[in-house]
Amino acid sequence: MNLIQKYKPKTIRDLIISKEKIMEVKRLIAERKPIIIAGPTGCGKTTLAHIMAKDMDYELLELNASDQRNKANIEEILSPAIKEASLFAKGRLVLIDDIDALSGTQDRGCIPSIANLLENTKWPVLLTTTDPFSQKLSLLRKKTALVNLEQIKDTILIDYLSGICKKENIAFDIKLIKNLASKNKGDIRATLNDLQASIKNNELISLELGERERLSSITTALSLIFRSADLKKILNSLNETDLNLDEAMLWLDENIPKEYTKKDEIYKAYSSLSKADKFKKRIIRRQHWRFLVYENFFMTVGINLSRTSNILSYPEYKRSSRLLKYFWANQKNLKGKEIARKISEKTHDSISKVRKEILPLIKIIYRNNNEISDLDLTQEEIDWLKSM
Amino acid sequence: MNSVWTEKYRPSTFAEVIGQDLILERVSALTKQKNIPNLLFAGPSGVGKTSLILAAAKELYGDNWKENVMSTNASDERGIDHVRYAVKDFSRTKPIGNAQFKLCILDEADALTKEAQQALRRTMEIYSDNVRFCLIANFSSKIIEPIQSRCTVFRFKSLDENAMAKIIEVITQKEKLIMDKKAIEAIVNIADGDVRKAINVLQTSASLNKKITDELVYNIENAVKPREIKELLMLSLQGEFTKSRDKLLDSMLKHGLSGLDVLKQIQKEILNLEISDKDKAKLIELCGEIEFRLVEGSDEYIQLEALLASFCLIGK
Repeated sequence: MNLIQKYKPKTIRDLIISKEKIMEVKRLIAERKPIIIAGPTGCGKTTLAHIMAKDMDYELLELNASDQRNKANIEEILSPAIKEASLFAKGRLVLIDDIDALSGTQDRGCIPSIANLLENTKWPVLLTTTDPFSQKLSLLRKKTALVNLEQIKDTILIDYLSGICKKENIAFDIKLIKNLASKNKGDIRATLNDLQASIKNNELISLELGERERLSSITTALSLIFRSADLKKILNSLNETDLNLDEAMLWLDENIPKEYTKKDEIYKAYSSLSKADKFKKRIIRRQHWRFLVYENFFMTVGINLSRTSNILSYPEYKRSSRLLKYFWANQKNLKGKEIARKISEKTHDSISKVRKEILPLIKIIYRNNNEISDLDLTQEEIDWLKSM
Repeated sequence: MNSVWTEKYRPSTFAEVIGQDLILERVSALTKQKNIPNLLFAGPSGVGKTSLILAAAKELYGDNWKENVMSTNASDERGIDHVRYAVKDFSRTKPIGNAQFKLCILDEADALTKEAQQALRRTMEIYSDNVRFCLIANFSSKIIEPIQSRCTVFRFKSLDENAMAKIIEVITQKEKLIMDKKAIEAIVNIADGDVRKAINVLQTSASLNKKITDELVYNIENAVKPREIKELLMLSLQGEFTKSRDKLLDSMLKHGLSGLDVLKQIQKEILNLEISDKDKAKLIELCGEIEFRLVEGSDEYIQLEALLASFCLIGK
């Protein structure tokens, strides 16, 4: 029996998404407000939509990436449904799945026609996406509420997986479950797939987990780049991994200061890395892919040649946390952005200018228990200003 | 306080505008004839570009000016879609009431992409009967030639100290604040020709104390100035690479700074450092190369790290 199908959530209770988010979505649907549900792959966006429809007794009208989606198509499929009442259920819930998968060329004209739809429909509309801040969606963002589903926490996944194992009478070592959970970064679907693959004779066995293998290959590549004296091997080091050059660049960026200690070494290594980055951008700008040779050269041999002293220490190479930090900071700054938007409406300044030049001053005003009443800030926003 | 003072004290008639005498005279004459051309206002921020066109709009349309005016900030809406949809929709309908034409104000128009500007150029032509445009920009050079040639260009200068002091005094009286000469000088000094900044600092000061001293003004200025950039610059010159790169990421994230924002500040701070002029020249040359790469679109963080690493080498 396929676990994914068997344990497909059937009611709200089966969901492992935070209850607050579920209630928020429910409330917005009840208010007939169009919603963008955002969240990483496999966190339950589509499932949530299906359950909501069932729970609130709406007929679900779904358009997903497998349908051909263009302007005419969207209008043809959705327009009649939008206007007519549903035959059986209380109403209709329109779900447009994976909106960021709309392709620029084939699905041309979709976004404006969806925007148009949002204005004319009397039924609630749900859009799902992995990237709510994509440029493509800017037109829709203004007309919709955004509900951001976070990555499912490992601890929740671990509970969930052990629960399933118990129900299925599968003997398991909690360590294996933890591995499964952390490897898939909150992707429930992928985790269940892995779980299914790891069951043998009613017992959980260890698959040779991809991640660990991958780590060792990265480490090998990095030590070749940093330490080898064999030019050919150094040049090929990154081909041996399944890392693309962008990821490799992040790994190098994170680990150069761990590997090199002398100032001139750090300087040389970073100027090589920045040259590689320069060629990377030239590839994109000019679509001249032979520049890859140089990008790779500066990332490998260029960095290798930075060494001027003997190898003394053997650091443990770490994954870069930079992208994750960008994400967190973005989340944190959302409130500030919203406040800046409110101010910018009053002052005719751009949001970015308000954030840089005016917000710091407004914070001082609020921290000293004064306020500017016509900004219409919510209590939450005022608290945020005071806490900064 | 019930409103943002930069709005509260934005002039609503030409008579209330302080400074920019020559431009004021020309624009008010054009407005009186009820036939303004397409306009391009260029100049630094906080010198009255937006205020002047809003005053003109109120003069043109009276109390119902909002019906015939669309004002958008191009740096928030810089894509071609905005020009194609919002601006075009506004432009294609006839003006309301007795007005001859509508007015579309595009603030920070230098942030519009080249493609959006091209789209705008067509819109300007097609709907020239219905609508007049006023583009506002810091640098006129970032506006493409065909648009510039369709506009009357006015170049705004920074406000001089007298005009600035006058604006501050007007607000001081209306808000019943107590300020001495030194305090006014302090605000004029840190505003550096930018009225928006002057009024914002004034309002913040007033929220703390009705009696404003130069000390209070400078304290506020210090409190909002991000110190991190100077600190990370010092760290790199002391050879502390890892510490300075960590601080770089922190401050970029905390204040939402772009790579260019950081680089601009680093470059400014270099001039204030106590190092030999030769070293300053070297550092600034390095900044130039990195800025070039940033403009080309490279990874901001990696490029700035490379800059800091090179500073480590030059510092003692």
